[in-house]
Amino acid sequence: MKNKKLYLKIIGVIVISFIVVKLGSNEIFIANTPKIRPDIFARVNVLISNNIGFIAQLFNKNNKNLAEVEKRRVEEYLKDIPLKIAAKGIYAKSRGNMSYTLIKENEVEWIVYTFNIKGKEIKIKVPKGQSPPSQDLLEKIY
Amino acid sequence: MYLGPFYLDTKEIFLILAAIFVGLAMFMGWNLYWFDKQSLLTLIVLMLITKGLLPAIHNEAFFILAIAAIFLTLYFSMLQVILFYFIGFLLFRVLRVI
Repeated sequence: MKNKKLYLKIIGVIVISFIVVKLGSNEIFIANTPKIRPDIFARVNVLISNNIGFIAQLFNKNNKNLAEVEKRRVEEYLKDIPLKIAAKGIYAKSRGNMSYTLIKENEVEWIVYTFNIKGKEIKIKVPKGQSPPSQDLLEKIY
Repeated sequence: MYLGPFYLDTKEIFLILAAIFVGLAMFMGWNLYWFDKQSLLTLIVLMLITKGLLPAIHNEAFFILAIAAIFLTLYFSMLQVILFYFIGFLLFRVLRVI
């Protein structure tokens, strides 16, 4: 029994050491050298805040993702403000530093522009009143 | 086995023999499959130092960690293997294995 405990501890130590080295050595040291990263505290801060966000999401009772939670928060905050028409089919409202935009695709007047990018014909839909993207920008995207 | 005033047990003698073989392999240009001779020699030296500090009752823990470290030289860089080796010893001490 005592031997079993000892071997379990030894195997446990080996597994934990392996995990610590695998996950931590690249974060702390530069390129497998004994030199410690100069921005190590910043990296640790980013790692901790990302992981706290992830863990907080796991414990969220409604089990919704953060984007949905944020969207509901904005809707709740702006619920007593009426929507204003920004353009045909595009409605918006805001208060302070929060804003909400609603786009009703069937109401928007779309204008279709045809571009020739690298020999291919590409059609871009743009709401009426807005300027289409430039040829250079589209060539970079496509 | 007594070497002058020093006592060496069987395991330590084998470890020293292994170090001599690896050293010879480096200088004579013998080929070792997959293992890097320089890493092995460095690791053997570290093992001899740590074995010198540990009493014989902790041989099992020491040798299991040593075998794992030698195996990991195939997959990890030398810095990671050395970190693994020392973190292993630290955890052994924390968990009162040694």
